[in-house]
Amino acid sequence: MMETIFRAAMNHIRAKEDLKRNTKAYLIASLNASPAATKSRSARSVRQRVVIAACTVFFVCAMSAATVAYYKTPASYLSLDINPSVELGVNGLGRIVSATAYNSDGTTILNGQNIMDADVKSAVHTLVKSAAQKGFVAQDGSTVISVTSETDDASTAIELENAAAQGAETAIQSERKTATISKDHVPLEKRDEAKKLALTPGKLSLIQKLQALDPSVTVSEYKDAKVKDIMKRINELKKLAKANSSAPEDDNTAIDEADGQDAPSSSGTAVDKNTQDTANETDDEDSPVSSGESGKDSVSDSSGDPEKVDSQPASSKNGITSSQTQSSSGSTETGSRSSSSSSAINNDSKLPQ
Amino acid sequence: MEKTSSGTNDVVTEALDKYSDMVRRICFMYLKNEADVEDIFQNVFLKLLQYQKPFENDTHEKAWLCRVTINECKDFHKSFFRKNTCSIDNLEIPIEDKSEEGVLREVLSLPQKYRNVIYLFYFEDYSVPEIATILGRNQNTIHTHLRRAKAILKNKLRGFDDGNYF
Repeated sequence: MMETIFRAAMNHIRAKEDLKRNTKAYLIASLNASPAATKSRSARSVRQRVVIAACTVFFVCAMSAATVAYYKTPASYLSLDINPSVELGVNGLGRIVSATAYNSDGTTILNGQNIMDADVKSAVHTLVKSAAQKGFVAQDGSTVISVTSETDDASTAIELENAAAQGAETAIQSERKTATISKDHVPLEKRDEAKKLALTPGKLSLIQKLQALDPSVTVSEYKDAKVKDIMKRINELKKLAKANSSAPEDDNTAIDEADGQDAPSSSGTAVDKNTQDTANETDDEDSPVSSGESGKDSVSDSSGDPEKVDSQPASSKNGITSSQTQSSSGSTETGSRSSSSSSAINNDSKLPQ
Repeated sequence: MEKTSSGTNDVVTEALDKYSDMVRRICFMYLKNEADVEDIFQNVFLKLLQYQKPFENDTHEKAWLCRVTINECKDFHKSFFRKNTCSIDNLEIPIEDKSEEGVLREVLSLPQKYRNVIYLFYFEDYSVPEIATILGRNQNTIHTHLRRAKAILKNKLRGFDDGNYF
């Protein structure tokens, strides 16, 4: 029954003459046209596919290029000063993407070392080990290894410094030597200034601290000096200033000025913005409680009291000053955070072997 | 289908005379719009006339055309730019007989997979294995679709006359 009705109904559905006529005209036109025109639809389809494929390839290439560019572009820097001065470019993923020697000694320790794509810790480990093997780290433990992060991001700075300090520490330990490791942080703008002077920002920072204590010091004078010599000179000047000072309050004030916090007239005047920034970050925000931050203090305040410094390295079994020890020394200080942090540096690097 | 540049007109006319009604009915099962039907019509016959391989016989040619038309209609519905749905209630069916119109309307309201088998089985007189080949489905699937489609129609068409359509 349904079948019959359905058949009868469907028999009413027929192609109208208009439809046939239009289709016929279209087909004749299409078939009589050139082969290219008859195949226009398939050609269009092919063109669409080619365009889509091209777009896909372009997109993939663009993404790859962007990824490579992101990977290869340093987001922050780390300068390593012993006296070999080397600056490492670190990308956003924490990998080394560039290594620049700032002096011939730097070239020497970089020579033959493959640190590209390595993480900060292993790269610094490799370079410090190379420096130790090539005689840049003294046996008596007097060598000061300065690692300075160059970035505008505080957390990245701490990560870089800690990783670099750990790398340096393990390298020194593996070479059975002793050294003092100091950490510092400078903003990126400081890097430009240092680059103009052909110095690493870390060394420039130290020289500027020295200038804060002795305005007669020039950058060129200490440009090729070892970090330990600069530190030694800073400590001498601080001892001298302390001896000349009658009241302890004055001493503390002098240290504060040297750290660049207030820096009114005398020694503090010479402290540049960078030092001030560093001092502010480390002293104001992160008191000696945090190991990473206190380590930063120790570097930036390297012009601090030598006596306090001595205590820190001593706490390190291998003679390497660690940031943790600095915090404890800071807590014993007279009250000025800047002075406590400054103590971390000195230690005169007399570390037990 | 054989064709030469000089005999294009004859070839086109022959193809249209032979298959235009069938193509139109398949289009009717899928499309609600005359303009859309014309597009499909042109595409289907162009493909037929441009098809290079020879058909084994007329049955083969007809089955091929059924498959191509169904594919074209499905592709049309898949097209993002042509998605304009039209309710079956608004469709104008050129049939005066009420029972015929009622049956047709109910068939058109079936899911697409059931519409195909109903049309091919009841109107084109294809067997289940042939429908399975044309639609590229398993025979048991076609059996199931046919049984379910009939059950739906039986239920819906109970109001007509004595309700005994099957």
